[in-house]
Amino acid sequence: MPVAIGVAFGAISTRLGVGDSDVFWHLVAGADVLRGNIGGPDHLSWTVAGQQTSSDQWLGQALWRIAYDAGGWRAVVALRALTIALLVGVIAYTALRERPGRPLGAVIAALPAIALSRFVWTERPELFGFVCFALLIALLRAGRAGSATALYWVPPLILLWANLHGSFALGVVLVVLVAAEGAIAQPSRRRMYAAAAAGSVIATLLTPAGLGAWTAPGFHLLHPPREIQEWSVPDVTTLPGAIFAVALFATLIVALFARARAPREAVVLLPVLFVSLVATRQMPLFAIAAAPYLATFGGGALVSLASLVHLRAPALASTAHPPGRRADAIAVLAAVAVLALAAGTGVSAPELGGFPAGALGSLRPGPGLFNQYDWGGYLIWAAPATPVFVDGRLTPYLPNVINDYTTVIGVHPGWREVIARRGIRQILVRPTDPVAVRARDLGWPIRVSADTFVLIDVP
Amino acid sequence: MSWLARNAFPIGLAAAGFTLAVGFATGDPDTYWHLASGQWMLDHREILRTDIFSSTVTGQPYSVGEWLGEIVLTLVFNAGGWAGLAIFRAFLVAIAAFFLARLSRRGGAPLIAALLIVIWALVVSKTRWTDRPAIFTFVLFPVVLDLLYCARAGSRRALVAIPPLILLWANLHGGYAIGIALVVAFTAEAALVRRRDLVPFAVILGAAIALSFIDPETFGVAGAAGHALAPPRFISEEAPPDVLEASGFVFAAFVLAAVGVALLYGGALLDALLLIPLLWLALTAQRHLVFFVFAATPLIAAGAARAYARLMPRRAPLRPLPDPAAAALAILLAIGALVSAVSAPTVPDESAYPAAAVPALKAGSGTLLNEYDWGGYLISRVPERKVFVDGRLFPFYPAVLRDYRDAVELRSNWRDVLARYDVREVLLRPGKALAVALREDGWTVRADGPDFVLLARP
Repeated sequence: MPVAIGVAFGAISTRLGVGDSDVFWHLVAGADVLRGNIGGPDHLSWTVAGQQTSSDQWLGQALWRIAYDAGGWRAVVALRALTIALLVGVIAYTALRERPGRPLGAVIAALPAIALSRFVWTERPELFGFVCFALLIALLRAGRAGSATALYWVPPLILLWANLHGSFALGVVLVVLVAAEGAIAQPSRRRMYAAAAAGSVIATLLTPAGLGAWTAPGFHLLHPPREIQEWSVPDVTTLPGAIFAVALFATLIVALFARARAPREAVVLLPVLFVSLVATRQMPLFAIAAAPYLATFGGGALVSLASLVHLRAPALASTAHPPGRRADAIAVLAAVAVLALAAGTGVSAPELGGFPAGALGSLRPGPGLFNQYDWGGYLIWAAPATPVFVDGRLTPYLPNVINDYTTVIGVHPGWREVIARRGIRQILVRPTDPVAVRARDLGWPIRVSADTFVLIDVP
Repeated sequence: MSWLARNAFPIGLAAAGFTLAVGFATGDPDTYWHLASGQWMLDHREILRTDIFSSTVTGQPYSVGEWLGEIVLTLVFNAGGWAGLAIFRAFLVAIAAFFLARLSRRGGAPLIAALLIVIWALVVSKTRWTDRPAIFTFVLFPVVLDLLYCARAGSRRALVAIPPLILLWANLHGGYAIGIALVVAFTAEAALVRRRDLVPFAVILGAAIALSFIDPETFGVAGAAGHALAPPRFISEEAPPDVLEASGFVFAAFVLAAVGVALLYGGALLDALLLIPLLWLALTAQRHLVFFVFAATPLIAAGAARAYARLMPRRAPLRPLPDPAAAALAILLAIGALVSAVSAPTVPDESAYPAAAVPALKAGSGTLLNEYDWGGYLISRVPERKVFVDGRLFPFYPAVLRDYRDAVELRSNWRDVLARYDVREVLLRPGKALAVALREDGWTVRADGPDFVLLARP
């Protein structure tokens, strides 16, 4: 069943557009990685050109690039579908594993996590990070329940994760916490827990950045760039925020009424909840961590609650005989076939409607372009002769370039001084951006414009 | 045991709350227009139902459902000035702290645990210690919640006190809907699990709802719900809670503690009926954090009591002070708090306002476009100039606010907005795009400082 659920969502994802604003610079960075240039000097911008770049997602970027080189955008969509299928499948598997006899209840428990994961179905290394997180939850639960094999797999997973995406730090924290709790509750397995925790910490050092790999996650957790939408504060009046709220409220209700107490659940749920409350993009983490808890205790809580209010709880469907290995093999083969078919007939080109494709021909080569932050990645991809002012990599630009960007785009005091000091020759922004409005007011020449963009020459 | 001795803990915390709250100088921009509204009502002996302060919606009807709150604050201000307002605010905070302390001991929490929880809850609530009618909601929430717990425990007197409190609340501040929501939660619990209590609670709920309509300036539950569902995000207190900021962090600690206690020890139906809606409300806007924090206090304190008993099973609980000593301590702390009233500030903190622009504003004329946050201050300090917008929000929503933002953020129609309203002067922070553009366009700088600039059309 997890395979079927994962494949269903993976197949659906092949119908979704491709072209996240960051995917483009990830693909270019991936090409650098494949050429052996990991974390080398920047050559994509003119504002931080020559400065060392981050290598915390090198493997993730390489995977996307390998896919692109192998089959273009269709292969990117296929890799995304496969990763989404894995993510959703692992979420469903972890929930179903807790309630093998009550699949419907388990699937319901996993629904908020699956729904919320939709908002991270992007062709970026971040997606791999979510898969690793879901896998870690599955391994930690299995390990805590007695599986030594699961605990042994934790450090390799952390090693992979630390090289795929910077979100690995949360995983390491969880491993240490679960190991500590497990060592107290199960003294006979202390060595195993200690090995898993120590191995995980050491694994994080086995990256091109070494200890520096911890810099990016620490910075983003404590100083999230709020001006970027995905790093904004979770808002329950939006759709993803509302789904997150459903997961949180369901967890609280189940915790209040569950028949059995589970203090060990707190070790995972509480830190993940805090991290999820920090930023919008982290909300799915809590829903993923809560899914197996809801699957395990949700049914009992429902019965308790129903009896409390003198009602009979609805009986959820049960399966007395789980399918065997042969059925599993057939399911996997069918899944591969479905995914391949879906990817083969799915989206084959990026959606560029939101990008200033019409301005590319009028861009001057070389330094001097001031561009909208959201378009930096696209310009890196589509106009390699014109380095960008800023793009979605963010951290190389902090704080000086971002400050100057904010000053110019918002027409704050000193905006013309920044233009002069930086040597900005062209401005490519949205027509509604204050700098575009002001430049029109001042009669600056418009090279090309459309509903979504305007390219202005600085006189 | 005397009442004083029995309530030494809440009295002590009330005294501490008073002492902390009395020292803050008011600086809230909305205080000014609330006082101006209250003064108008006292002068004219009628309720202010139309706008008299702005140039953009002047004469248009509006209601913010706080007429009595504004009059009470104005009476206090007239009697004692800014120091009087500070002492009154501290008195209300003390009441809230008193009832919060009572809530914290309901689960039998050890004194030290209850103390820590209440202190953190008060830390979160500090952002609500304002000289605005909203402070009445801040104080009435724990009062009504404690009364409902008393009623649940069998006190009919507590139950009977609730409808008059809701009547008072409905006229003091629009947040009374939260009070009714509390009564709904307790009534729902009675209906589901304590059916012998259903009739009295249902009667009280019906009475509370009926009495809430006795308000000449009805803001209404619908208005409150609409506000909660679509909070105006550009106002800082309407933004969702940021757990990396101080109050948001403490709020997150309460959320984690509530979930943690539930995971460890479970809870009751009433906990779910109270906490789920209030948690949702808190997550919609940071101005609502305090209600979840206050409502979660009994659950968390009860959890602390159980954790304490589990961790230290053989340790005897702290013995309470002998009655006379507890009563003496309570009296001593209360006296200390009253003495601290001498530290009440006699002037407001106006460092955030363009005070240096006031003479130039008084000498100027024509339509003034002002910074949103400064509207209340200008209503008070430069009453001869009508404001463009101010913190009353609703009269300006959505058309004027949209025009205001289009102009200030330099959208493509900014010149149209200035022309349509015939704006002659602009008072903004110097960093605003409109201020930069107008300077470049040659508008005259009539006054400026590090934090403001007053520009006049040439």
